[in-house]
Amino acid sequence: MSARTSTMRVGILAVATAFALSGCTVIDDLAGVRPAPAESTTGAPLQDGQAQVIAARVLAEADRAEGLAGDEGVAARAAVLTGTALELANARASATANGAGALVRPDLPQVLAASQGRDFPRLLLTTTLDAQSQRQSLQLLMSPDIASPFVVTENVTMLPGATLPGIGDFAQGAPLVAADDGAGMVLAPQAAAEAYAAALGTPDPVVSELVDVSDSYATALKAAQAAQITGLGELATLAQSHAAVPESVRALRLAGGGAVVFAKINRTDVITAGENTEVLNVPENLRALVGGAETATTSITINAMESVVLYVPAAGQGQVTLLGVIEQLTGGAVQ
Amino acid sequence: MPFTPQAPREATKTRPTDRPAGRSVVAVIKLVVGVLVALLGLALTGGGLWLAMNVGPNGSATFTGTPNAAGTVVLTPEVLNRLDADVTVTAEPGAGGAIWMGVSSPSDASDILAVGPVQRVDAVDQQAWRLLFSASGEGDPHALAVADIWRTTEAGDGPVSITLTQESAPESLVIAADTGTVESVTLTVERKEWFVQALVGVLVGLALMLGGWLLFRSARRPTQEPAVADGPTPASTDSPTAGSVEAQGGEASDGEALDGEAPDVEAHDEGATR
Repeated sequence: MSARTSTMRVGILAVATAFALSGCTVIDDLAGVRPAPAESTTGAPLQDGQAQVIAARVLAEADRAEGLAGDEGVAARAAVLTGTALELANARASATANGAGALVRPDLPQVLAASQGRDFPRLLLTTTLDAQSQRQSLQLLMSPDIASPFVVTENVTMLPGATLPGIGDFAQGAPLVAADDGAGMVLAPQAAAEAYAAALGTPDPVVSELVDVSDSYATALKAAQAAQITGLGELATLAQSHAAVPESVRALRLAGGGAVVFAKINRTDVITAGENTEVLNVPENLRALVGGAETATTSITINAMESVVLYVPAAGQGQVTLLGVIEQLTGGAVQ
Repeated sequence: MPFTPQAPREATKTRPTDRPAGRSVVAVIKLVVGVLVALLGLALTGGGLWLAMNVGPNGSATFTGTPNAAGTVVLTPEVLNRLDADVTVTAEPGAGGAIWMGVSSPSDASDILAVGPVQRVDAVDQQAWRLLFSASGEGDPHALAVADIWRTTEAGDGPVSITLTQESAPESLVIAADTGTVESVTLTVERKEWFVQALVGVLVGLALMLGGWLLFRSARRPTQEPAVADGPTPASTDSPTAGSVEAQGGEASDGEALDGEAPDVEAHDEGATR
């Protein structure tokens, strides 16, 4: 037997043995069987279309709930709203006899971003356009845990001309930013809300150079404060305070390193009678807030809620600016 | 040229058993390889026929199973996303019941099924075409339908089906019955290449069987190799000349080789004088 023939036969045997040993892999390959792909847990927890369906459903339910009066409305709102959005909706419903009236949103909401990662709570940032007023709104939807559906936690009307900077690819998700995490930004979300609130007060506003209060809302508020003070003259004084609620602050990181921040600000107006004033007349449109009282001898206190959306830019990229706000009177008292 | 008569030499008889030791080893290797190749061919042929009969011309494989206890059924990516092909799952409730199905990411499915009895399917019995269930968990399950983790859902009375593409893999499929027990689950995956591959397997198997048989047959037959005598056989003593003598080994039959009865070498007087 030649050496060549011997080598060839040994080779055949080796190939046959290898084939037998790797038979399973070969069969799997031939059958197209592959390992199941690994799940990515770093991006958005929802798919774009899935988020769109959820947002449309939740906002439609929220609109319907806002149009319901009485106990039915209370239950419906509690099922689909939470946090600041629920407080605002209930306050609006209380201010009207037949519910606040459904918001008109003929267009489907657009989902701008989902919070990044698989953890809870999960957030969806959406926007809608009111066809009648042509006003854009921003909503924040939240799912607190795996078994609970998304509910609306913020619903804020944007200021005319306000622009929300780019958020990035939906599939990547937008990282949640802790209220006290100011890394890479001009201010932490909570600090930004507090700084903006402090700048709105009267008579002693605290204006930070990091916050822009030249927006149309702050400008109108300041004008109203000045007009009211002028109107009261020597008869009474006006003190207006704005205080951000830390528990309400929620923020999502934007593509440019900044953040979009939702927060609730509690506003308190106190009109105090002057030394020579015997009685303060409660304006008719505010009497329902103070238990129907028509006059006060010492002071009138009116409480309101401001739900705001702020843009907190990356460090060195500008000032904190107001993107949207919605306010609602919530109560009051007379003394 | 003067002629010098030489003493006659005794011719040497050559038998197969006189071949080098390596020759036997090669024959054995050929036998073994031949048998292995033939067996491989037999397996391929049988497997191909079995696969072709089961998947049919459409290349459709169907696995069925019945949960062995009450509980929510979850099919994991290990059975849903192992092939680049659409997978259709059909679930049947008990009599008069309804079925709800939802598709989610595997981690979300695992999280929402963290409480409550679960029938998990993460493997199949390929020979029996059965889904393999494993039970776990206890307690009150979450309300599945209200959770916002589902990429798609289907529900209805009687059998409910859902088809998953592989675009969003990996995914898990959760199945719940309003009665608490899912009667049966059927998973169908269609891959047209399977039928063609089965036929090719049959053909290749037949070819291997033929090749193995030929190899086996040749191994049992001694290689034709001339046996050379050591010297001239005794010439005819009455011949005036002495010729060179070659021992010509006859080609033994298989039986002769095995019996060690190779024909004797005959001395031929060529009648030539050198």
